[in-house]
Amino acid sequence: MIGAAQAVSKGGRSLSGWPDERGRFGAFGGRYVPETLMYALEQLTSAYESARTDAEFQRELEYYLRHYVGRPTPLYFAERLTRHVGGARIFFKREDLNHTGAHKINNCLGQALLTQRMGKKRIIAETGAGQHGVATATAAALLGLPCVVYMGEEDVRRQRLNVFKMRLLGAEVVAVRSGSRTLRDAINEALRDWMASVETTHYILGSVVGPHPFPWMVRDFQAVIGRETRQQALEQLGQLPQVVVACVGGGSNAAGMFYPFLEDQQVELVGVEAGGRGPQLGDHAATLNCGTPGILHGTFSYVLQDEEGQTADVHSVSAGLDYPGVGPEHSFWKETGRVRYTTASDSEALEAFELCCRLEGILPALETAHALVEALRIARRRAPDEVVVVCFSGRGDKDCFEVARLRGLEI
Amino acid sequence: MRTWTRLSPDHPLEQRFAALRSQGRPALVAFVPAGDPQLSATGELLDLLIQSGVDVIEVGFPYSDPIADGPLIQAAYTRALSRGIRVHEILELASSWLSARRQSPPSSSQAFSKEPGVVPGDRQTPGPSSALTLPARSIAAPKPMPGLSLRADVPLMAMVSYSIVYRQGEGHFAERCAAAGFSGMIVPDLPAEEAASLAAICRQHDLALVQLVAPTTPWHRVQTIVAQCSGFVYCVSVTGITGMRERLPEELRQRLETLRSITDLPVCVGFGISRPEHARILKPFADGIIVGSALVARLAEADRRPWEEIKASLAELIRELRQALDAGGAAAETSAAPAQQTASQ
Repeated sequence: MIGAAQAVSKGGRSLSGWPDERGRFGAFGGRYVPETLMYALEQLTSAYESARTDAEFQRELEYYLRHYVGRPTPLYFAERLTRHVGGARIFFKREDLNHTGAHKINNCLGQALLTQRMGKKRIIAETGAGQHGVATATAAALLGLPCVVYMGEEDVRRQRLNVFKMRLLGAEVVAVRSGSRTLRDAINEALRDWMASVETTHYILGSVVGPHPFPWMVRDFQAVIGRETRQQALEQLGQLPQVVVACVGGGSNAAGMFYPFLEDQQVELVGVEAGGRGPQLGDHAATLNCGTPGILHGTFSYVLQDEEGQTADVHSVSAGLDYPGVGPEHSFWKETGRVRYTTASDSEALEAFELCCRLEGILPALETAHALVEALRIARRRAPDEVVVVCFSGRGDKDCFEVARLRGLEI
Repeated sequence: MRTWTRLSPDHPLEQRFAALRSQGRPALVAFVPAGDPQLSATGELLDLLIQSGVDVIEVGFPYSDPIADGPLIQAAYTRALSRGIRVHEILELASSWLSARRQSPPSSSQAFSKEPGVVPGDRQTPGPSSALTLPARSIAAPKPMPGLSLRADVPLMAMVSYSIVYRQGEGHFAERCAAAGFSGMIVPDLPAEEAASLAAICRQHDLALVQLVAPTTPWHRVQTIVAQCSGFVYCVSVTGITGMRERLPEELRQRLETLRSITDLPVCVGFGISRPEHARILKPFADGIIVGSALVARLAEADRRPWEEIKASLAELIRELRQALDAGGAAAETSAAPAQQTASQ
């Protein structure tokens, strides 16, 4: 039996020294998948182990990140927002300026290059709102690999624009009609495809969730965000930020942002989950704040379940945060106390969305708006010489339809 | 050899497989999702399966995100969950079904009982003493727990996701399963690496913990898996999920032969078995076959087909599979008579 209490770092391993060889972050993580997938996961683990220390692979990834994605992204001083709040200085790490408009592409390119390296010929992915699907379809088009994206039927209907984009990029989009017809069923379906196609296909999982090595690998590919931020803060400001804030659904942008700051004990790290419309199970997606340790999609982490162990329905105005699980490393960071996890509600996020549009001329993704809510709360009570960095994970164009709908408008 | 010693000699699976072996007949294992189309129907199905010639029944505990199962089984689970099925209801169903069966054993095509020759309904038992002689290797078996007396002659297996087991607590869930009369569990999303503690708990309760071997499993893993396994080895026939398939893969035969050479545990083949010809092809190479999706596909018609008709078609499929398993020369001569009787029912 796994004891959550064991999560506190043991054996003298530093906070940034996880996962262990069993794919554990403290007690969290591991592999809870059908036997059919075990060999593929072992293969993937050793392929990734050799790639991460291979200078040639890293050079190739760096090349594409720089010339194709547009990295490094700026660390931007949000001056008018700072003045509006009247406290600490607020900076945005502009992941929204990446090609495809979000941080997702960092991971997709890394895994697509890994697919080539493993000699696999086909890519599959799941997507909720479609951002990870578009990023995967993009990387697949770049490298000339056929791509199938699984998407819940509900999401296909709600995110028609992204479906059309994926098809333009040459991907096949499969509408998933099982279960709740949303992201978690898309993951179930992608895992099923992979079970039958594992010899020739790589599954590009979009977040720091799922069985080992995904949480580890995706975090590493996203850690470019935190590394750049750290370096830019030192160069531009001559100091590390006092606070770093990121939104958490599955938790990939937050994991990538936080990881390089883990050993900087003076830097406060804050994750923001979707508080939805209230604290009742089914009305939010605040897994770390309201959930319990359990198993979902092949990993041991906090989950939103009923008392029987059935996955709960979740809700958030932001489709990208609408997930009943969370990355196992976040569970570990929660248990160790290194990261504080809080929530922002639907209405708070919408307010921050509008404020950011008007004061900064930047449309944030609704996911990002959740991080903004907490950044504003913190900056308000901090001194002007302090620095709060927000991981500006994506742009909000994709959310315009939803925001308009909530205002009773048709566009 | 090592693995046989883990269950008590009078464990229903041990009894059943020993008897089948002595008769040269492979086991017919059937999967039923609990609560589809409703819980009361599951009880009826258990009766029907046994009467039609099934040896071991896997009872599926509905789970919201069953990654190891195909769309047919997930749809069955979704239907059951939407009617609000609960874990304790499944346990209660098993326990009341088993105790009803113990009190008045229905006339069954099956020729075995937990206690050699004492169940009056088992008139077809062919020379009970020889059929039920246990292998000499059944030493060092754990003592049965109190409550195991609930177990009848039919081994019921809980097919359950680790998400549910973990949420209930491994020890608590195993205890409740044993008390309800289950003979063991199959936890398809719990690979051998993560199974040590549940395996130890199952041993305490004299519950089998069946492990799966997949076509993608390398041989070094097979050894580890088989060493952890008890009851029988579940050999996955194809790379992929459960579902009905047109043909069985060629390399399966070779895999089964190798598997049987490294373990004394019965080896049962599942995934994609839906037709009598599958049973006939597999019979010489497997100790049992597992049929699931083919049954579930029939249950899925419950909203548009009379229940009696569905039951009749299920019974027909089981009888055909049974017949295919029992027919022909591979069965030992001594078992020819009961095999024919079974097939004719």
